[in-house]
Amino acid sequence: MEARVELELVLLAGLRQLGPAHGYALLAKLRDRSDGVFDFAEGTVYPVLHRLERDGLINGDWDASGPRRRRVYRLTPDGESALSDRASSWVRRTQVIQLLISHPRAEAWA
Amino acid sequence: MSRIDEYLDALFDGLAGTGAEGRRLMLEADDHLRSTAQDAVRRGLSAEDAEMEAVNRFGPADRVAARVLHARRRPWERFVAARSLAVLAGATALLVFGAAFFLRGAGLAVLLVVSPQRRAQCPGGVGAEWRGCSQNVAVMWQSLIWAAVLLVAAVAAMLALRALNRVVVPVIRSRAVGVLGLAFLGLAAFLYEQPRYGEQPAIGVPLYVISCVVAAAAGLVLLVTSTDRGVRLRSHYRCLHCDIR
Repeated sequence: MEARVELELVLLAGLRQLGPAHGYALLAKLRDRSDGVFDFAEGTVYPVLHRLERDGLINGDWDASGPRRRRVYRLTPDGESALSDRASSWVRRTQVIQLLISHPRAEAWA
Repeated sequence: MSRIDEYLDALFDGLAGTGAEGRRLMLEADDHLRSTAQDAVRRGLSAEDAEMEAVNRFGPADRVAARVLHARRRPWERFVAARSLAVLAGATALLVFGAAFFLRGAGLAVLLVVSPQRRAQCPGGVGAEWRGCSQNVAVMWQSLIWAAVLLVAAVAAMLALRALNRVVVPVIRSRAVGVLGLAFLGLAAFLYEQPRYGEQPAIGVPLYVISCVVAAAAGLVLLVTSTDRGVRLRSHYRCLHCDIR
């Protein structure tokens, strides 16, 4: 699966689990919940969030209540649907890969 | 100036022309970097180290900007960028040809001055004296003239390409770049068909083949290392195979 599509899946899943969040909080939570496995070059996440918003999978609103303006993102119904589809596809792919790598010997293919 | 401010300046430069999306990314980047630095200070880092950590975690400014540029690029803009590449490759080829002709002409000129008794491969016959071999003199002048023409053409092409990339109306820019690109391809084909002067290189490969290979290699190096913000080729194509990190 392309790295870009994986990142989109992770961000959509993160917003579903965490609820509305701005980019910094979303990344911090993802890092914590994955025990550091998902450790992105943080700046590259924002263009992905922008693309997800352009595609209608998430919505963003500016929050000016703090010392700096922050854009808070939330999952849309289309985003929920896309997340379910992509997650199912990813699970299927990983199951196939798991099946393939669990048979290292040539005779297992017979 | 703080490290974060320097980073934001670099990011701003890289996002030139991206409009609302670039402005939005600047706001989010500013908040993200300062939040990261604040958390790092709370963990016990100094302010300077905290800002350095924040910037390092965010990623190189040009790479972040490239993702925005790449995402915004519409199909026709990529086509324009591709034709810009063709013009730049053609200009590079002219530059290399010009340099090759200059080296040959200059080399012959040096031999004329330094070694008048040197035997020359004159078409008129083996063993003729160098100075008496008018063919070599003609080759020298022809090489130097070609070198001057091609070098001027290459510089003009690169300046024109830089100017065209600043034209506001993209349709005009696209067509002008396309015409320039075809013109250079035609000129290159014309040059390839010019008769050589009966000289066979020692390795048995025609000079124009060697020049084409060198021009292509020089063009690739130029593309990879280009920092010409007018052409912005590196930004256009840097993100074609981006990884997460």
